[in-house]
Amino acid sequence: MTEAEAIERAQKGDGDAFEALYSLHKRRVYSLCLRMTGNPTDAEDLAQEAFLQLFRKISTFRGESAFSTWLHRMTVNVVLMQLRKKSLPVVSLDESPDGDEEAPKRDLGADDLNLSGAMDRVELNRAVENLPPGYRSVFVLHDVEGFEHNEIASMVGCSIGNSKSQLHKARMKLREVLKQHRAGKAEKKQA
Amino acid sequence: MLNCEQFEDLLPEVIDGGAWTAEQRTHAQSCKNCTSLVNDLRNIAQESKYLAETDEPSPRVWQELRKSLVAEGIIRPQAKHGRLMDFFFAPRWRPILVPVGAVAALAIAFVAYQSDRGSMNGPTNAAKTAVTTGAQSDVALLDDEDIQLLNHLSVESPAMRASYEDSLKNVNAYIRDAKEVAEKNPGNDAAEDALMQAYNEKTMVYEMATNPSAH
Repeated sequence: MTEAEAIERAQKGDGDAFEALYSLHKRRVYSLCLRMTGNPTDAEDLAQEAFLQLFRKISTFRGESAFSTWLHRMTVNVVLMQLRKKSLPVVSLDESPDGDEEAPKRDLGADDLNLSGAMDRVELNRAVENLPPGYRSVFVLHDVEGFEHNEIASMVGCSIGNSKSQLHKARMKLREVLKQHRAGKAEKKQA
Repeated sequence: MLNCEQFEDLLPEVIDGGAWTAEQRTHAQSCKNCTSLVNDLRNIAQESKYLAETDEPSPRVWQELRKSLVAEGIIRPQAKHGRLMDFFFAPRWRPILVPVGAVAALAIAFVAYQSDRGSMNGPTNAAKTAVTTGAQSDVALLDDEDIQLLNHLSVESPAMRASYEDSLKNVNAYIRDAKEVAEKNPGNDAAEDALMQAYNEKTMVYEMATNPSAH
């Protein structure tokens, strides 16, 4: 069943079509929820809620935009709503790295532990999950999901400049964490 | 000339594909650490794209979602038989549909002819058996567990009993048909899926009957 067929059949209430659409998009939606929340149980609840909201409105889908775009925007909205409800910072209010405890440290004089080459995705995944929530949202939306800064700014309610700044700090933080991890590994090997 | 701190402050634009200024280029060429920083940040941005579909939700998510969709009437029960019908009317069966249909029509005509002859001669044992079998087949659509459940509902929720009885008969008929197809077509994925789906359907009817507050 193609996605278009599944959408058409789902609009008529066909359970198999809903399952097909769910199967096509479940990994992307769940991964997005997991990255944004950092909690597997919350992520499952949010993924379920995002699909439910989408399927409730599927009869109104006319195909003007891609189905996946529609679904991912809805998922982001569901997650952001949840983060706001829990009073978790969607973006950090602090735009200056100075004085921000979570901000990555400048290490321009540090030894070069080049991260290029085969980057361990498990390691990267873990580092992203451990990012402070304020950095994580913008990083996930931009670097993982591919949204532009103007889209992120309107979704999370911050300025474009703030979005860019949060993204840079998130990347710097990830670099710091990955380098520490790699240095730890190197030390273990030497010992 | 830029120092390292100034270079880093101008980095975000460059990492996302912006143009280098002459000053940045000069600094990057002469500073190994900053070159390494640029490479690392680009690498992180690049690799992060692969995290978009790395995780799989547990089966619980679809089960819960399906329950909600059924409870809200978004999934319509009659649509569930579509898969079985799809199986019967799949393109691979088309060449044999016409001869099978013709044989079925002949068989029906023959049975009708025999029945007419029988009725002219008064009620026969064959006709009586047919009536009994019809009544039994309706009852046979409920097994012991179903009857227990219906008895339980008669006490707990009498208004819902008839509705659940119909649902159980429908789903049992669905299971019976799916079983027949699966037995006639061993190893056929579509037939096995249809049977599995039919059993899932029954589980859901039970769940809704025994725990209505959850729906």
